[in-house]
Amino acid sequence: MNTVSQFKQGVARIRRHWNAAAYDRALAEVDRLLQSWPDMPRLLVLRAELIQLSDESAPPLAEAQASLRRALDFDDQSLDALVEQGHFLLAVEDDANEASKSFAKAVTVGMRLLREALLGQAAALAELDRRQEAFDCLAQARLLQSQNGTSRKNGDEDLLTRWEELLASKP
Amino acid sequence: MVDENAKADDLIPGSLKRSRSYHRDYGDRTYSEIKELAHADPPDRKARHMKKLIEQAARLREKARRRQR
Repeated sequence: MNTVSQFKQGVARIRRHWNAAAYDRALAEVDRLLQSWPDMPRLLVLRAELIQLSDESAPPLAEAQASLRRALDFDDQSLDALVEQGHFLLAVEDDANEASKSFAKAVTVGMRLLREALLGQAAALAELDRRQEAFDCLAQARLLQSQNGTSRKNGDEDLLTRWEELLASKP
Repeated sequence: MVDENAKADDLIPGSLKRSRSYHRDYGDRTYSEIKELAHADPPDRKARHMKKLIEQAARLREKARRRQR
């Protein structure tokens, strides 16, 4: 049976091999885990990274690119896969145009996730009566929105509503 | 952190030497020399490629350590 603990142990072994620069052994461990958890984006990204770090006996670089594509087929919002695909295209394929598209999508996804995290944290901190920190989170979310050039009526109203709720809450 | 005095061939893993961006005739140059050539005006195309491969490998080597933090 494939358990979460088996997966975590496998990932820990990959890290140990990676830190010891034993990339071929780390890659073998990734391939072993992929047999039990096929098409898991996290493992596919690790596979792409380790193929690049290995020696000439590693699978061809085309397999690294294919692993990244497969990861994005299963999760097109995977930040790690988007960023790694961007780096691969830029450095290995020397294709700055396609790399730029991948990084742009990563930035969009990352900004949205960060904004959602900040709003969630603001709500949680408000419940814990940590109002100043909650305000800071809302301010960061607003700054992020304006820096990203995505400031829009609905987003601004959403933040304003949360701000007002926080002001109205008991200190 | 990449060793400025290390040769490109010692910094680029064997797998990445199969990339179209790898140029064997630059393998004996140091990272420092390659950076200088890549930033020259006009930039040296092969040096620019090699610099990206060196930095890609360094980034990936470091990534496992970052994940553990």
